[in-house]
Amino acid sequence: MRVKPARYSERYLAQQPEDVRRAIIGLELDKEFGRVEGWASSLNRKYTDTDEWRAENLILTYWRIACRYSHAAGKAATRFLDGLRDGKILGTKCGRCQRVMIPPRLFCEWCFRDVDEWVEHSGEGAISTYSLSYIGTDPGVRLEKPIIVAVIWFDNTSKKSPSSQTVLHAAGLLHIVDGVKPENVSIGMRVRPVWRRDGERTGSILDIAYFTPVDGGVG
Amino acid sequence: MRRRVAIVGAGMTYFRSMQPLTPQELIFEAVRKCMDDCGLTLRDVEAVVAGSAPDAFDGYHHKGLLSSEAVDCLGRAFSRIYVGGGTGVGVAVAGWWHIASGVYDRVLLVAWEKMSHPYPHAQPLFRTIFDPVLEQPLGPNLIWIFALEMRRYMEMHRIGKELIAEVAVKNKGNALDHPYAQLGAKITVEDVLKSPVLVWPVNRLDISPTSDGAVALMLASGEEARKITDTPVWLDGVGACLDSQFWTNRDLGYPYYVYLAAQQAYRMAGITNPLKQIDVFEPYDPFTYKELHHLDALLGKPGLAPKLLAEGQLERDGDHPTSPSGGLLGVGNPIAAAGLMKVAELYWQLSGRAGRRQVPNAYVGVAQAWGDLMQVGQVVVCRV
Amino acid sequence: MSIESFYEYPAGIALSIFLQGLREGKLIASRCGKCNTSHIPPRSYCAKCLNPINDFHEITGLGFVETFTCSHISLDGSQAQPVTWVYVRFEGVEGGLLHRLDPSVAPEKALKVRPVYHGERIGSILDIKWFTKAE
Repeated sequence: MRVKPARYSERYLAQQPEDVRRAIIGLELDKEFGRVEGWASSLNRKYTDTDEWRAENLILTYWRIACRYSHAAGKAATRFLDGLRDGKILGTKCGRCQRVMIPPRLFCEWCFRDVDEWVEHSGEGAISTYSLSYIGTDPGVRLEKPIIVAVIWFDNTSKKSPSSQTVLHAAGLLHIVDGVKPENVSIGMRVRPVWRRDGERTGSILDIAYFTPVDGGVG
Repeated sequence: MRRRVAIVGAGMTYFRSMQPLTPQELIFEAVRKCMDDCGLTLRDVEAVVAGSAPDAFDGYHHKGLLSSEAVDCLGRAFSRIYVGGGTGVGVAVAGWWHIASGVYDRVLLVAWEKMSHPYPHAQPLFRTIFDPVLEQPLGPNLIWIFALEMRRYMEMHRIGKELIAEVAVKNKGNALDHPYAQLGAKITVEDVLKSPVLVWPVNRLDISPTSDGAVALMLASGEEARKITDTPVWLDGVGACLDSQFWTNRDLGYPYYVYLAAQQAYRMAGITNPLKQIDVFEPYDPFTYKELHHLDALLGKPGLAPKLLAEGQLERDGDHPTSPSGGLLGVGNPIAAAGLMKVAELYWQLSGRAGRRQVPNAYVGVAQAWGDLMQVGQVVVCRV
Repeated sequence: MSIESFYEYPAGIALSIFLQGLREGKLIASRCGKCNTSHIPPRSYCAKCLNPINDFHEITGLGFVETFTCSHISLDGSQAQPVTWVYVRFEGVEGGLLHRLDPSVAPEKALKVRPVYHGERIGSILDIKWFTKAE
């Protein structure tokens, strides 16, 4: 079995109706791509027990989807983002179980009730867990210096579930830690937010530039 | 009153990184093997429960229906189950509902995946799991969340990467005896530790591969099962649980949702001491540490799994054989198919059909899958 | 935010044979060795018989219009020159093909049609230019 990519050459596209040609070029399906070698080598291993199946040519075809989204942040997250623009970390608090919720939400699923009390938090907390990313958003990209990724749990927000001693709630965010050497980061390390300057904040999670050790770090 | 449910047949395709077959062809092959195994035809099937990852992985709307042709669905009830990575075991749980409820007597389960369709890889699609408002702007990749969970787990029980790497060594070694495995290999702890660090503490060899493949399982009610086979494997307990989407508010060190799902299944199956009463464990192992993390919850004892691993108890000839199939790390990880493969492994083990993988004295087994933002637990308990 | 991906589809057993046929200017159907049912596009299995298929044969290409529609919207959703789409079936063969109808032909139910191929072919459904009236 040989691999045959069905490539849309220029000559091929020239004979196609205009809308088809435009769609294929618009989706960049006419570009040279395809793991032809990979497919060829996959044919060299046993891949089926169905002895009857034979095809001399494995045809490869290409497709692409591109969906763009604009997400409405919703009531709670919008107020949270507005807070970040003002340099504040806001959460909601359940009047019954007294949980502080960051990211904030307008309900407490433990108590199954609406929540409308807003509280401001200093943003100081401890690293609940962390990791060092040596690859970028595109995992094919290797980073020279790793990014320190962490979940930060905010001070005095930790609470055990009323139904269990093993389920814990803590107000917490996923963010980046900087201003410290990766080898000096530890679970439990106390951190605080470092804000972007006034006027540079846009109402985004990135208004917090990063979290950094409260004691200034050790390197 | 609910009825007893049995597994009466199973079939699977080769798990490969790039399968030249179409999803329909893979499904057909798995289903045909399954039907040959139990001696039924598709005319005997009353309902089909299918499982596959999100449509974006194939760029094809409602790709669950791809299976409808290969299993000749016309005139049968069809449903597609989706609970993230938990889907494969979720399909078995949902199949159980179909029969235990008394609605159907013979239900076909199919799960498949073609992870090779996205070009050049599926990572940009996986990454969409993060919250678009508060997390996507930070530029995450999928491995972040695993690395964060692994680090928390290591801290909680004071265990090192050397011990966790043993899971890869064990599972890839076990997979050498699996005829359909993608990555059976004899490797060392050193190999794992020296493989490239992707997101510390996760190295490349801590991760299961992307795979293509399909698995089919035939379920029958008790009465029907006895007509079909002398060696039914009883699906005596099922459990399903979902934790909060707000994963940064939870302690990732212990998958409590898996514990709760397991407890549901154990109650149903009359298991009170899983360590003593269960002979074969197939916990979900997309990453090395996850096998231990999930086994902790299946045993209901945080930190016990790493101890058993260190003592060699999780080996096929140990006291608590775990992932004798070779797991996702060794057999491969075609998402939904990988979970159902674990249930199929229980069927093969408990009915004495596991060949070179056979665990001695296997009467009761548990299979489990996990999914999404560290929140889905799906568990089944089988016995002969 | 966006969800964006390219995809690469190996056409598998039956469709690879079909697409290779188009490349050679032929229409290929499959036949189940047990129930003798033919299909286009071809299949590599018969789910009714649970039987793998390895019998593929060329059909004449003489088909008939089962149903048709006229689209005033182009692929990107904009208004465009109307295009008539026909679903073409073939005598004695299950299934059928969806394609464009030659704009010089008036569509009608049961109209006898045949495929017109492009000169340059790669193994794609677009190797067929359109279906036209069979004389």
